[in-house]
Amino acid sequence: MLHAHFKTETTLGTVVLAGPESDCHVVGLKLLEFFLIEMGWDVVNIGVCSNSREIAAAALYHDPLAICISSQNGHGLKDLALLRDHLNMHGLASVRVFVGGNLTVGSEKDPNRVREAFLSRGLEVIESFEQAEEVIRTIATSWRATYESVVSSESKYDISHVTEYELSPVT
Amino acid sequence: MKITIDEFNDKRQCLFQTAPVDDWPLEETIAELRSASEQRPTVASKLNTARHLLIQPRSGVSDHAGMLTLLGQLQHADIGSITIDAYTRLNLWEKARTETRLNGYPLVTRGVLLGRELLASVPIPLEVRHGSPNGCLLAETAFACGITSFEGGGISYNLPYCKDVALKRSLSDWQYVDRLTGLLTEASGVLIDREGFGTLTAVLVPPSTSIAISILEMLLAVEQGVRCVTISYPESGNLVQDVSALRVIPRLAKTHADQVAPGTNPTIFTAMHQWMGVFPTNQSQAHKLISYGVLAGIAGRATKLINKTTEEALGLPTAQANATAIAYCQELVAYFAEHADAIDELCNQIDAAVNIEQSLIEREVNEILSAVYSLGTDDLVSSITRAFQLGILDIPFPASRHARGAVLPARDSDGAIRYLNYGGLSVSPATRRLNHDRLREKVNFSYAAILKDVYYMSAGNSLQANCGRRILMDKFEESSWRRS
Repeated sequence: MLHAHFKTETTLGTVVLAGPESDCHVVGLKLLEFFLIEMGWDVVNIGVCSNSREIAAAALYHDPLAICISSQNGHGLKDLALLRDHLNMHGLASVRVFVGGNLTVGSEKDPNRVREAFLSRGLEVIESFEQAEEVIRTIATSWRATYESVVSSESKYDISHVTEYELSPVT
Repeated sequence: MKITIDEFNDKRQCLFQTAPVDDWPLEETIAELRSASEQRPTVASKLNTARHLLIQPRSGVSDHAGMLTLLGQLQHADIGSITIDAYTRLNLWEKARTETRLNGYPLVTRGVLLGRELLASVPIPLEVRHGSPNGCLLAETAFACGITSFEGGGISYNLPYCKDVALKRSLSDWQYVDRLTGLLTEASGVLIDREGFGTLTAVLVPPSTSIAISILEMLLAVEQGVRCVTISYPESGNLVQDVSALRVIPRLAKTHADQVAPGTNPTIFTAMHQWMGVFPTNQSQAHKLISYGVLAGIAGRATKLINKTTEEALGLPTAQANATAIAYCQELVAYFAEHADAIDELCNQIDAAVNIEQSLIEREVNEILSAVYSLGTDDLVSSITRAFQLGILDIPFPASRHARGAVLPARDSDGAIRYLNYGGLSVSPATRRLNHDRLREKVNFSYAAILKDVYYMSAGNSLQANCGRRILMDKFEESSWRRS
C-alpha cells in the first residue's frame, strides 16, 4: 500500500516527537522540534509525559517516518517498555523509534549495555540531534525510492501534479 | 478563597479513600512535628538564624537503605532534602511501589514510619523536593514524618512538570497543601516553610516571569494561612541580573503581600538554584560554574542555595560527588565570610548596573501582576487560570498545554536573559523598549541562536564575562591551592 509521505514538494516527511510518561523535561524535546523544523521536516510534537498508548496513537494518525523520544529522567526504559508492543498492535512494526537523552538513573553508565537494553525493547538509542536527522533522512530516502519504484511500475500516468489530498487515503 | 475547615476535612477524607496507604489523624502529625522540632532545628529556624548562605543538596534514591546512607553522607549540609521519584510525583502509586532504581525516594508508598526513620537518622532538618501537580498526599506524608518544609506550588509544579493537568485542578490541590500547612503551623506552633519553584522549566527563564509566578504562589499560600515562604530563583548566569533578582525578591514579595493580603506579614526567604540548565562536562568548568553560583548567591544575599555537582552533566550525581560539592560550596561561603571586603568591592563595582536591572525587573513584575489583579475576579485562583488562558501569564517552554508558551527568551550580549518576545504578557511600551534596547542585535529566532543561549553556561561563556568576578574567583582558587 502506498504511503503518501511526500505530500508537497516543500516538505520532506513527518516525524513524531514525544517525551515518555513520567518525564517532564521539555526543553530538549522543544529544541529537537526547532531543529527538525529548521531542517525542513514536518514535526508533530505531542509533548512530554506521553504514555506509550498516546505515542502509538499519534504514530497511527500522522504516519511518521520515525518517532523520536527525548528521555531525560532516567526512567526511559521503564516508561517505554511497552511502546513497541503498542506500535505492533497498530500495525506499525516498521516505524523505527529513536531514543536519546539521559537514559539511566545515576551518573555512571555503560553505553553498550544501555543500547542493548533499549534494543531488546525495539528502541534505538541515538547520541545527537544530528544523528537523529541523519537516520530520518536515510529512512526518507529509502521511502522515496520505494515509493517511486512502486509508482513507476504500477502507473502509466504522470503523477507529478497529483495533490496531497488525492494521494493520501490509505486503508 | 480560604478553604473552610469542613471543606478541608471532606477533601482529606476523599484523599485517603484513593490513597495507597491508610489514613491517620491530624493530631498524630501535629505531635510528630512537635517532637521532631524538639530534636533538631526546623527548616524555618535554620533559615531565620542563617548568618551566611546556607547550602542544601538535592538527594533521593529509591532504596530505603540507600537513602539512609545517602542522607548520612550528606549530613554536613545545612538543610537536607528528600527528592521524590517521578512516579510518586505523578501519583502513579503502583509503579512507585513496585519499580526499582527510581530517580528519587517514593516517600508515600514507603510510608510514614520509614520516612520518620530517615529524618531521625540526621541532625539537620529535611525538606521534601519533588515536582508534583497534586502534592496533597505527599504533603500529608511529609508532615506526618516531621518534615518541616515542603516545596512546590499549583503553577510551578504543574506547567513545567506535566502535559495535561488543568491549572484549576492543580491550584485547588495546592490550596489544600497550603491549608494543611497553615493548619499544622497554627496547631503545632511549629513554623512550616513552604517553598515555591521559581525555576520553572529551568532554561532561560526571565527573572520577572519567575518572580511574578513565585509571588502569585506566595499570595495563594498566605491566603490559606501559610506563615513562612521561601521564594526560589534560578541562576541566569549573569552576575548583575542574578544579584538584582535575588535582592529585589524580598522587597517585591513584601509589597505584594501587603497590597493583596494585608496584615498577613509572611516571613520571606530567598533560595537560589545553582545553574539548572545544561552543565559543562568538563570538571574544572563545572567547578567554576558552581563557584559562580555561590558568589552570586552571597552577593545577592540569598538565604540558601540549592547546589549542583561536577557530575551534573552525566546524570544524577553519586553521593560522593554530592558530598564534595556541598563541602566545596560551604568552604567558599566560609572564605567569603572571612573576606567580606572582597564581596563589598565586587558589589560596589556592579552597584550602578544592579540598580538599573532591579528597576527593570520590578517594572516587569509589577506590570505583569497588575494585569492579573485587574482581571476583576475576586478569587485569585480564577484570575490566574484566566490569565494563563489569555496569555497574560505565560512561561517559556511549558511542558503543559495550559500555558501558551508564546514568551520567547534570549540572552543579550552580556548574557542576561531578556524577552525576545513578550508573548501575551501585558507589559508597557516603555518597559518593552528597555528590554529591546538590551537585545539590540538579536531580532531573529532560530534554532542555532536559541541553542547557543541554552548552552551558554556549559560552554563556559559567562565565566570570563565579568572581570570582577574572575578576580575574586582567582583569589579563592589561589588560596585553596595554597592550603592544599
